[in-house]
Amino acid sequence: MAVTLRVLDPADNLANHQKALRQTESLSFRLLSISVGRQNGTTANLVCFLQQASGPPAAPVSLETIDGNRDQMAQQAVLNARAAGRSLVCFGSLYVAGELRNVAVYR
Amino acid sequence: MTEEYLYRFGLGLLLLSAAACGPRVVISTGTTIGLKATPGDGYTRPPQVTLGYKRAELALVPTKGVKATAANDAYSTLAAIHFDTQWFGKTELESFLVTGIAAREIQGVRTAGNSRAPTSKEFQTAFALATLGPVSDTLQARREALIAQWGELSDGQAQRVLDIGELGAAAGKTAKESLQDRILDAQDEASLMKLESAFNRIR
Repeated sequence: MAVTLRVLDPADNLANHQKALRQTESLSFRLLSISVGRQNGTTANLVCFLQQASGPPAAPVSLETIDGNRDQMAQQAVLNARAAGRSLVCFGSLYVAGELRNVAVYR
Repeated sequence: MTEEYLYRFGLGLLLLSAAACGPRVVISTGTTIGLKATPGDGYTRPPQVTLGYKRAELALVPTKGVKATAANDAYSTLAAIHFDTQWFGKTELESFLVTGIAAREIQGVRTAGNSRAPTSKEFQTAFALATLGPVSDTLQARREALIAQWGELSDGQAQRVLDIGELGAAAGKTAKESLQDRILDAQDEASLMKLESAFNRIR
């Protein structure tokens, strides 16, 4: 299966990022990762998907920001506490409304 | 000369009296640049380089005295000067003075009521262009209809759709994978119609 790489708007809010990812998954893509990286020498909100032959996944993804001022163990605790029956797809960073945020993606 | 002096003095008094009454923004800058070079051999007329420049500016902006907002701001002023010369090596002078919301926006600082801030050019050019964003529910429904058709296509049929739509295949991907990317990238009416038309042609 091939992967597809796209760039999210760093000025968009979390709800718009989530909507864009959910809509993409509805087109038979599956989210692999989110990360702030580089593209053409500039900072980019990178999202990576796996292309699938079948339809969308059973459950949609949910994006939640994690307070970056907390220490490692505190962030880990929040990640586990918020899971509540869901599985963590990935934990990375994105620019959300112009601010760099730690973002957890649950399904 | 005396009349001109009196005129300037009167104007200054007028401005000062206006500044003393009510809330206002007052910004003033002044610049004096002097350059003089007189090298010579003492026998012929020496070459001379002389530049004199003197400037002053004053802005007096009456305001209502209320707190500025993103939509209502009377506190934005800008005074800037840039001077450089290569006559005596690199000589450069820069003065940049900004106040109010303009000062915040020019640094890319968020302003109240602007959910898409920062909006400065510096911020926007620092990031790669977005290639994925949310689309309207109507466009999404049409994209999902195309994906349903796409699922039934063979790789050869997907290639025909790409050919009809004059859409190239992505490097390292099959025609079907490339077509799926094209459906994802159809985020406006024009590109979606182009794809729908190509799909209709192979039916």
